[in-house]
Amino acid sequence: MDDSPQQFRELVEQHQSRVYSIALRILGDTGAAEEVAQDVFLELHRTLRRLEGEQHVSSWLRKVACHRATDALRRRAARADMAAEEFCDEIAHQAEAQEFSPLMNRVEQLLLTLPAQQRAVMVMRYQEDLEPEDIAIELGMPLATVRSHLHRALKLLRQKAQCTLKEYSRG
Amino acid sequence: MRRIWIYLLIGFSCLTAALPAVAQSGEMPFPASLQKELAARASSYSEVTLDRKMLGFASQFMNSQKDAEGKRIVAKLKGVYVRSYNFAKPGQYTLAELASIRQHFQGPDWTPIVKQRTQNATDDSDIYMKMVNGQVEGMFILNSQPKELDFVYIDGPIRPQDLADISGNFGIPQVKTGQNGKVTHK
Amino acid sequence: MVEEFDELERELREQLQPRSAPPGFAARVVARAAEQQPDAASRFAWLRGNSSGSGTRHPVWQWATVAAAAVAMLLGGVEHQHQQRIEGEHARAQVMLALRITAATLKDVNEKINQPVQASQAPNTVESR
Repeated sequence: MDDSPQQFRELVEQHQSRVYSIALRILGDTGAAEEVAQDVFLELHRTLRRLEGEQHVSSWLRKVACHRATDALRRRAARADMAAEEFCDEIAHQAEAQEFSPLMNRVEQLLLTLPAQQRAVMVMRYQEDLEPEDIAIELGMPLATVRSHLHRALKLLRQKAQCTLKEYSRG
Repeated sequence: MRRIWIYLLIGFSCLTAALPAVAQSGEMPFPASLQKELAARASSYSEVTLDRKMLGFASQFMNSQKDAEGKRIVAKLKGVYVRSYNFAKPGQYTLAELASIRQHFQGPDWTPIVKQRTQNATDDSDIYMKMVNGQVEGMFILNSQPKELDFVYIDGPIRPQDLADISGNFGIPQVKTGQNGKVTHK
Repeated sequence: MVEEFDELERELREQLQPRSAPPGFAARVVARAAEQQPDAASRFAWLRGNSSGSGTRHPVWQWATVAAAAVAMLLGGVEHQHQQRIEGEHARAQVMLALRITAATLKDVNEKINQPVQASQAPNTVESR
């Protein structure tokens, strides 16, 4: 694809929300999400000539945003893979401490309590509206793994959602 | 959560009464060769090296409200050095390597505040404080996990309140230090 | 169970609509991308190409060269300032990363200290001053 400044600017404007949202929902931190999203676009700038067409750019951005955000998460050593039961204890603290950003909605907050891989798969499924088969291709995962991540994540979220309601109703 | 702050407060209180000590150099206080070896074995790693000059330079660009706390904390520091290694599988670092790192904190300047030991050293934690002329002049944290190894060295004067602020603003529920020295959760 | 999942999935789709990127995001990216371009001098290669090849230079080209040099100096200054800003932003990001890792490490240590000793493990020791 053409890598002229005009073309690049248009691509950034067209895809910035999606890329930023993927990073934000995986990282849970606006500053870090912007850093990752910027880096993804800079990488796109260097790669643009090798990409063929809008569809290719779109899927490339999704894939790289997901990988870079999970890498950043690993680097930050932010482990969110706490069990549902632990979350119940944790939520009381967090509700009191208002640790979650008020800018994030309930679903986004719950998503941040999932392990990184499950989080990434869920963002691909429900934000990007991809079928499990497409997620498997884009993230380079076996289809069975994607399905298992989705199933476990939904189960965990359901438990956590109930738990959240319980804690709030106590208050 | 509360316990670590109590440890740190007690540590600070003990150390401020300690004998004067000699300042040490301003870089990660263990060999660069070991850092390189760990990095080579890691599947991913983060290395942040910020000396006084870099901290000063960065401070000029920390002008937003959300940066204010970080700017205040780093303003008086001589350096911040962070190494965080993630490994693909357990067993990528040895007990001997951790021991060789700890050796650098056996001198009179350094005092262990927290020391947790586990079998195979796969879940150890250490916090050391550096004292210079009766003042806390640095802190070193070692944290090992089966697939992760983290080191943080803060060079310069640091107070319990700074640590509480770091944790409050950068990912941990804020801890407030009361006038009587007690630590409370917000 | 199926209904509960359906309800949750509906909520996930609704609440995970893309969010707007921060204001000025595209401009910041484009500015950083411009930094990746070849250096400023190469942008004036066309001028060198025109002035070479013939034995003598037309005065217009001489003036153009002088003007180009002045513009290049001006751009160099702007470029330098811009470069400083980019480096400053990078340094700032490094400070924030260092503080975040420090916070996460302190959190881990704290969690370990508060963790009860498990019977299956070899005797752990926790000491503090």
